Amino acid sequence: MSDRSPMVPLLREETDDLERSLLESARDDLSGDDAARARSLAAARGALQAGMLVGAATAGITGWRWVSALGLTTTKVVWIGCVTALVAAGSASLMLTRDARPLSRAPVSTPHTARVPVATATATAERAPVPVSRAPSVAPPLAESPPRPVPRTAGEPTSNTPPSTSAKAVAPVAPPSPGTLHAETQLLQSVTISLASDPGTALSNLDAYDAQFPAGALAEDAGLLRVQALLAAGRRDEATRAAATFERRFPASAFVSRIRSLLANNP
Amino acid sequence: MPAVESEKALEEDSLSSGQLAFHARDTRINTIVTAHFDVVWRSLRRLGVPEASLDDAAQQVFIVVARKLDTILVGGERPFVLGVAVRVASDMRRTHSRRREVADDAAPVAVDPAPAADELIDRKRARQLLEHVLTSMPMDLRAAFTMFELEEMSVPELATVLGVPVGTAASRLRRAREHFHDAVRRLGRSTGGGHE
Repeated sequence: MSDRSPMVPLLREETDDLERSLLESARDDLSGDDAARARSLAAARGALQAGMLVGAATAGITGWRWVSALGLTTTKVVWIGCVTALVAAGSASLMLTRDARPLSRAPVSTPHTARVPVATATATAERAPVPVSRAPSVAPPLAESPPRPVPRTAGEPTSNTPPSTSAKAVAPVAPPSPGTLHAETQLLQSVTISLASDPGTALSNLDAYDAQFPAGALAEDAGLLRVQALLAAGRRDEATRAAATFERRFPASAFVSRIRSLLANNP
Repeated sequence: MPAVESEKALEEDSLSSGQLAFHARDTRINTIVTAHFDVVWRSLRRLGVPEASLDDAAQQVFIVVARKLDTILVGGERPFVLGVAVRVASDMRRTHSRRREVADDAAPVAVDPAPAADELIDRKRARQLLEHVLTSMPMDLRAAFTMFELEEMSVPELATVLGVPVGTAASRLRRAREHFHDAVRRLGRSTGGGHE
């Protein structure tokens, strides 16, 4: 085989029957039946939620001092996170139970609840405690399937108009109601989902976000997502300008270093 | 953003900023888990993680991904996630090998020497035979083979997953294919089918 000839998967070439049978049998490699898959997915999310709570310290939360005064240990934080994850999981089919075993597999040696790698999460947590009372008891529920992306509306701008330009013209608004925050969350989730595959649609949705929520609670998130979308669309100069605008608007934001890192990694 | 005057207000704004940062990360990791859980799970299986350890392995993959979230470029989630899966699978196999914890379904499958009735082997037996062939491969070749042949990844993406140059990825793939062809030929002879 020439080094320069493009390589094509064997299943797309002429191959003998035995090889083809073996390779095609791998198409059965699914994560069990629906119930087993749901349990495995819930276990992964549960462990992740615990890890996210502990790792929230790396997201730049600085208001932890009052929490440490409560004397919460790292271990307690992780277990609170596990409980929170269980509550957030919602339906019974997603709850981690001691009897949760995949129907189509051999019995596992330990229950799913014991599989949460607390030690791993604990090791991450050694840096700082976490503001538990602001932890994701108010986070959006872990959806089983992503929300439908908001379609692009004809006539809406797709340019990278810096957020501050439109924000300056709007009067200050009261703190967002839970309903408003939910709407903001839904819109930005649709941006996140389309970010990699369709940055154009992501940017349109970000324009919609800026128009609907000029002083939104998640404005910083939207600013970060805008930089990411512009980079994904190959519009680096605009991403650089959006980053500069973000830093002027949110100089103390935890996203500043992350945005700088994104630009540095995308020359 | 409103001007802040007192230390308490400053702390509240900082906390708000951090909470929002957390929320954005939570959203993104949730999206990654939803999009890539299945491919991670089946990749771990194809890389030889024992059945009883697959859930643990999948959890480890996404916890590492969550830790490294800030370094993952938009659009680069899949190769990153699968690269972590390859490393987790390698570590787990080394650990299990040291502990001699070999579950029944991870032990080398004894190939039934009885000839197949015809060239069409039932899928379950075929999957067992494939596992036998994959188990015989060194891990670096197995990773290249499963990602390219079974996930139909491109060679450049494969290189990203494996963390090697494109040329190295292509070379590993060719060696993996040679190994696969040889192993299947031996299987064909042992089953008496002569499938060449």
